[in-house]
Order: sequence, then structure tokens, then C-alpha cells
Amino acid sequence: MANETPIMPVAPVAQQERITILDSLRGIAILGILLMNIPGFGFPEVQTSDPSVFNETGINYKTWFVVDWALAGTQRAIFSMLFGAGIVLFISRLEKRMNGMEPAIYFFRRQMWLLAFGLFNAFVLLWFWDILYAYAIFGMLLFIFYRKSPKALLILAFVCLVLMTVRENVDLYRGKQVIKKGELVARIDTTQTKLTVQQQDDLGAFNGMKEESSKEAKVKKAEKEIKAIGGNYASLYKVQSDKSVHVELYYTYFLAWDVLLFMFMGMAFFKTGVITGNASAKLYWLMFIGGMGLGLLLSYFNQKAVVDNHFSQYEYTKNVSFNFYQVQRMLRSLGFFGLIMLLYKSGIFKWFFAIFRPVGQMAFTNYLMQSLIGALFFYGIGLNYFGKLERYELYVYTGVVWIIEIIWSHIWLRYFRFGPLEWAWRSLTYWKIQPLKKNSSSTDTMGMP
Amino acid sequence: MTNEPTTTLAAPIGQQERIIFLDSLRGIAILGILLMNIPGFGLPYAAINDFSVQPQGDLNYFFWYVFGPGVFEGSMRGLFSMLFGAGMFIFITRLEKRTTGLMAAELFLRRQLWLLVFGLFHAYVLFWFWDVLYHYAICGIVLFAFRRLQPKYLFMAAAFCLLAMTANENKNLYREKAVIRKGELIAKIDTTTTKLTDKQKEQLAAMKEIQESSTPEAKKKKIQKQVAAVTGSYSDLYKERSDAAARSETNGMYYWAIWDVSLFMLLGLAFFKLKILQGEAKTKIYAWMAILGLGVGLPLSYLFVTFDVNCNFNWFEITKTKVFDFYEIQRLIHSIGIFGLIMLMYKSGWFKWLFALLRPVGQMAFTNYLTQSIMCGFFFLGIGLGYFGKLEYHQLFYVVAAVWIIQIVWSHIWLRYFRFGPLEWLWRSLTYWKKQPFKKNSSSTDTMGMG
Repeated sequence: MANETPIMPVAPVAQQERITILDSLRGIAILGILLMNIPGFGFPEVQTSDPSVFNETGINYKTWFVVDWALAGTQRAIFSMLFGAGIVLFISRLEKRMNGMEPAIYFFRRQMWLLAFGLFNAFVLLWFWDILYAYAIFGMLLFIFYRKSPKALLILAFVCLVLMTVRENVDLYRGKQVIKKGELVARIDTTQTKLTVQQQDDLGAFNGMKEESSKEAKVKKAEKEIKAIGGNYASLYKVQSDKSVHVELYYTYFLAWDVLLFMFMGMAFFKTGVITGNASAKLYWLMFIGGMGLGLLLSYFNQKAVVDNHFSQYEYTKNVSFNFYQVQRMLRSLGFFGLIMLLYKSGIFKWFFAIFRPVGQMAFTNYLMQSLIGALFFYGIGLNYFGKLERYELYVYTGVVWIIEIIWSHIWLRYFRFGPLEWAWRSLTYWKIQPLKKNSSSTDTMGMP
Repeated sequence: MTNEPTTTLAAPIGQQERIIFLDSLRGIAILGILLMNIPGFGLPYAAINDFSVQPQGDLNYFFWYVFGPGVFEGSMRGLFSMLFGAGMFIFITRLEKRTTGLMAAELFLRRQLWLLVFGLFHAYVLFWFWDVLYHYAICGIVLFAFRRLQPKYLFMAAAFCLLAMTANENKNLYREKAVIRKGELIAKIDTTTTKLTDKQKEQLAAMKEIQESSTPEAKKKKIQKQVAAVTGSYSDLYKERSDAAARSETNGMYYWAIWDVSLFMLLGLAFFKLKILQGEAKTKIYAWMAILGLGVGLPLSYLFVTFDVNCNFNWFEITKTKVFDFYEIQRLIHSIGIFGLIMLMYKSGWFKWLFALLRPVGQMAFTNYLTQSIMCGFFFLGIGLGYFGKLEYHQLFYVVAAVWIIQIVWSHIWLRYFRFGPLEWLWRSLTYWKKQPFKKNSSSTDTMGMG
């Protein structure tokens, strides 16, 4: 067997080694992700990005509009970038301190534990939009690319963008086929000609699509979900675990490019110093203006297409000729990222980044806390607010949780080295209980970024 | 960036290094797998484990029972998974000795990722919807973390997979039972006096759906549809097959493959470390495996199959009456039994000719696996000769025999002139990202290869 002795004791990152801007970025992204997730916590799935189901107007509609137009998909993107960067950081750190295959082994153990936490998030905390599962799996694949040059990584990112756009449009045109075939069959005079089995199927699929897109069907589905989630643990478990399974199977398989796109970008940005604020202000200005400018413009049209088709999947499929969701989402995400880096580089907002730093240092804990708090507040086994708040009220809740997480992160990290779940994750990865209390000695060395 | 580790010694396995016997085992597994797969190639899905919708007759039943759920089912796939687990270990260990840093891990992952790509190609281009390369690629990556465990812990992990698989099967069984039970209760309600609630209507409909789809008429309809699609145009075929492939790579991977495949990969890893897989353990061990495995496994399989036969393969009835689903357990036991039997044949020394005959087939296993799909695809699919749904069960095995002969013959011929099978060469070249030497020659300057 290959010799296993590491050069130095293997342990997580000491305070001095952390790259603080990444912590702040992660803090922003982690709170931002709650902004994106809150409809999933508080609304039935059909309502999350569809204000027409329950006739939302006024401030509720405006809230949906702004979030969907400007922010949708951006937080997940930044989080993915940080995750990709983190992989490079973790492995390269360990490579400096260990021989042979050790870094790979720790990396894979880390990912497998992340997978376990993801399953916990999805099936115990019952948060159906868990991303840890997908990140654990994709992280393992990304290991292969971590030594690639920034240029190669950006090319890979671009390939993911293309593939995702192709995927979205293949789905769109497949849907169009269903409609076309169904309409053809619907015209046949069934009093004269009997339909073949295939034709019956086509008609069924067509009618099914129309049905599902109808408001009545959506309302029914929503009410069913509200009842199930407001019920006892068994009914809650059934509905949420079914949703989780669907996400873990289909999102991970069919939408892999959505996540990988930004993970590759994050790896490239880390290697070129872009994500650590070391690039020129000019680049960040370009990202901000170009990304946000073009992104918001395209997003506006993308959103308009949805609104004009009355939020009906059927009508959208029939009338829209090209879906460029991923392109505009990428642009806006880069724009958002550019903006934050500009604020950072200006040096004027040190206080702002300082507030977010502990939140980002405990990002893992904070992410799972969001699921726990959400479960206790919204589900029937808790305070049962699922389906009871208005859209804008969900964002009030978000603000409150933000404040809680910011405050407690600052307090916790004054006395302890890592957040509780960070500590657990590290201990499991290194298979050794890590020091938790903060003290002045710095004998322990490495760890996870 | 970190300095590039030396890659000069990173290259595929040389002829001298191969563990010869594993190649023979792989050859058996690869030909054996066609026995399991031929129903999928040639028969509509609804007819495969359902003898009620096929031309009857003792000959057909015999072939269905022996080469299907009664004796061999799962054993070849199990053997293949064991060899894959061991091969993974051989690959990484060898490279660890010859390369520095993380190169071995990286090469392993590259290898798995290319396998994944081949799997997608196999499922979506060659239209083999029971492709396992995809699942093996993923399970292999997951098992990377378990590589160094002692056999004791590997057996525990395997036991866990068995438990998880059995728990999953029975969870599904009992969920379906609940649907049926609730539906039947509602069906008893006198709807002239009480009106049904929406929820009750749904539950009744769910039960009726299971009942409906279990009738012979419904199955025949499904079969008709599938035969029309598979023997139809390219786009019909593509839709049908890609839907099936997607299901296998999502639901199938998640619920079934991760446990089923990992179980045997872990066993293979453990058996390799204990020298059982290479045939170097005591004959006594193999004898016990064969005796217990077949002695317990075959009766269990018999029970399992006749249960379904007695319900006339009516899934509705089966779900209602079955108490415990022990598919994975019985399959594990009789697979170990068959493995033991094969090893006894090896240890006896009387079958040297057989193992020698199958060695080249196993050396080119990857190529042979994919060419099975190409040949059978050509024979059965509409875009080829269109025999899908047209042969009786026992006639499928004529096709198997023909393919076997072709594969045995061409494997021997090919490996007389070349180092690796064509797809083996391709896979290696992609993994090492360097064109590998192809033609066989006397110089042995090139060194290693993939185990």
C-alpha cells in the first residue's frame, strides 16, 4: 500500500489562513439564498414562482416581479462559484501538507459526508430544495478538473451554458410536439374514425398538459399541498420527501449544467484572483454594467414571455420560440458579483463586509439552520404558517432570520473556532474530533476553507 | 499552480501484469450477461418477467426459469460488479506505486468519467436501456472512499447495502399495499347513499389503476404500443428508448443501482483482498459457497418465482398477498452459489480449456459488452431487422448462442494481433489522454494498463 504518513498533522484551517473576502461573499450568498428559497418554504410549489395562482396583486405582485426579474438564480450562482473555488482551495492546501493520495482521500470523504448532510437536509429537516446533495456529487466530478488552467475551465463553463440552453430548448420543443400532435388528433371526427392507441395517447398527453396548466388544477394542487404540510408528521413526510426525491433525481440529472456552469467559473475565478478581489476594477465594472445591464434587459423579456402567457406552461410552450433563461441568469449573476466586488474594492464598505464575514464562516450551519427554522415556522408540526402568509410577508420573515443569523454568527465565532456543523463536518472528514473552543494557541493548522 | 506530478509512468497495464484468471472470469460474466439481457433486447418490457403474456410451452418456460429468475438472474451482473470493484482497486493501487501526488486519483476519476460518457452513449445512441456503465461509473466514484477498508468493514458495508435494498423493496411493496387497501375500502362504500370526497375519489382511482394495469388486456396493449415504437421509425424508437434510459439513470440509479451494484462491488473488493476472487483461497471455501449458495438460494428462488406464477403474474394480486419481498436476498445467495460453482470448476483443473477459451473474451469485455448491444440492436430494432417481439422465449437463446460464437472467435483473433480490444484502447487513450500503442509487438517498453 502507498505510505500514508502525512508531512504535517492534518487539521482544518486556522483563523489567519482564511481568505476573508471569500467568507464575506459566502455570507452574502447564504443570506441571499434564503431570499430565493423563502417561497419554497412558505408557498405550495405551484405558487413559488407563479403569482397568478392565488391572484396576487399590489405589493405581493411587485415583490414577485422584482425578485424574479433581478435576483432569480443569482444567489445559487454565487454559491456555486464559491463552492468551486473552495474545492481548489481545499485540495491545493492539503497538497502542500500531505503526500501522495491523502488530499484526494480527504476530499472524497468530505464530499461523501456532505452527501449525507444533504440527505439529512432533504429527508429529516424536510427541505425539498436542498442543494448539498447535488453539490456533493458534482464536487466529486470536479476533482478531475481542479488542475486545469483558467482558460480551460472557462471553456468548460461555456460548454455548460450551451448545454443548459440546449436542454431548456429541447424540452420546449418537445412540449411543442406534444401540443402539435394532440391538436392534430383533436381535429379527428371520432364519430366516424376510431382513434388508434397511439393517437389516444397523444390526445391524452395534450389534454394533460392543458389541464395541468389551468388555474383550477394549480389551485387544487396547492390546496392539497397546504393540507398535507399542515397535517401530521406522516403526511408532511410523504409530501416533502416526494418533492425531495423529485429534485434529487431530476434536478441533479437534467439540470446538472446549471450548477456546473458556475462551479467551473468559480474555479477559474479563484485561480485568476477574480473571486478574491485581485482583478482590476475595470473588469468588475465590465461585469457589473454588462452583466446587469444586458442581463436585466434579457430577463425583462424572459419574464414578459411568462406573464404574457398567463403563467401557463401550455401557452408558454405554444407561443415562445426560444428560452434563454440560463443566458440571462448568468449575466445577472455576473452583474451581481461584479457589483459586490466593486463595493469591496472601493474600500468604503469595510463595515458591510465585516458584518457578513462570520455569517460566511458559518455558512454550512446557517444554511441548515434556515431549514430548521423554516420547518419549525411553516410546517404543521411547528407553527403551521405554510400557505398562510402573503408574499411580501415572507420577505419580512426573511429579514428577521437574516438578523438572527448575523447576530448569532458574530456571537458564536467570538467563543468558538467554527460553527457547530462546520465542526461536525470537519471532525467527520478527518475522523478526529476537532478543537472547538477558541484559544490563543495556534498549534492546529489546516482545514477546510 | 501546484507542480505537475510525473506522468511518465502513467500508462496501461502490460500483458505480464494482468491477472489471467480474472480475465477468464470476466469472459464468463460478459457472455453470461447476454443471457440476462436478451429478453430486454428481444421482448417487450411488459413481457419480460411476466410469463403470462408469452407463447406458453414447456420449452419456453424452462428457458425463462433457468436463464431468468429461477437460477441465473442477477448472478452474472453480480459477478461483473465484483470484478469491477476488484479492477478499480487494482487500477488505483498500481498507479499509486508508479505516480506521485494525486495522479492516481485523478486518473481513476477520469476513467470513471469517461465510463459515464460511454454509458450515456450506450443508452442514448446504441439504445440499450439497461446500460450499466453509467451506474458503474457513479458507484465506482462513490466507492473510491471505501477502497482502503479491511475486508471486515467491506462486508459490513455490503450488508448495509443489502439491508437498504431489501428495505427499499419492501417499503415500495407496503406503500402499494396501502394504496390497494384504501381503495378497496372505498370501493365498498355505497355511492348511492354517500357521496365520495375528492380525496376518496383519488384513492379509489389509484387502486383501480393498479388493478387495470395488471389485467392481460392492459398488458397486451402496452406490449403492442412498445412493439410499434421499437420496430417503427427512428424518432419513435428514440422517444421510447430515451425515456426508458432516463428512468434507469434517475429512478433506477437512485433506488436500485446504488445498492444493488455497490453491494457486489464491495464484495468483489473484499474477495480480492482475501484472494478469493483470484481463485487462491482454499477449495473448501468455494465448496461451501456453492453448496450453501445453491442449496439455499435455489429453493428460495423457486419460492420467489412460484409465488408470482401462482398469482398468474397479476401484479395487483401479488402486491396484495406478498408479505415480504426478498428479491435481493435470494439473488445474492444464488449468485454466491454460482460464483462458488465456477471457482470449483477452476480449482478442479478439469476446465482449463474453458477458462482459456474465455480469457480473450474477458480481456475485451468492454468491447464485447457494447458490441452485444450493436449486434442485438441491429437484429431486433426496427431500424435493423426488426425482430423485436417476434421471437418466442426459447428462440431468443439461438441469438445468444450466435453472438457468443462470434464474440469468442473474434476476441481470439483480435488479441492475436492487437494489445487491447478497440474500445479498451479508446477508453485507455482517453483516460491517459494519450494515444496508446495499439499493435502487438515483441518490445515491452510500454508498461502498465488498466486492471
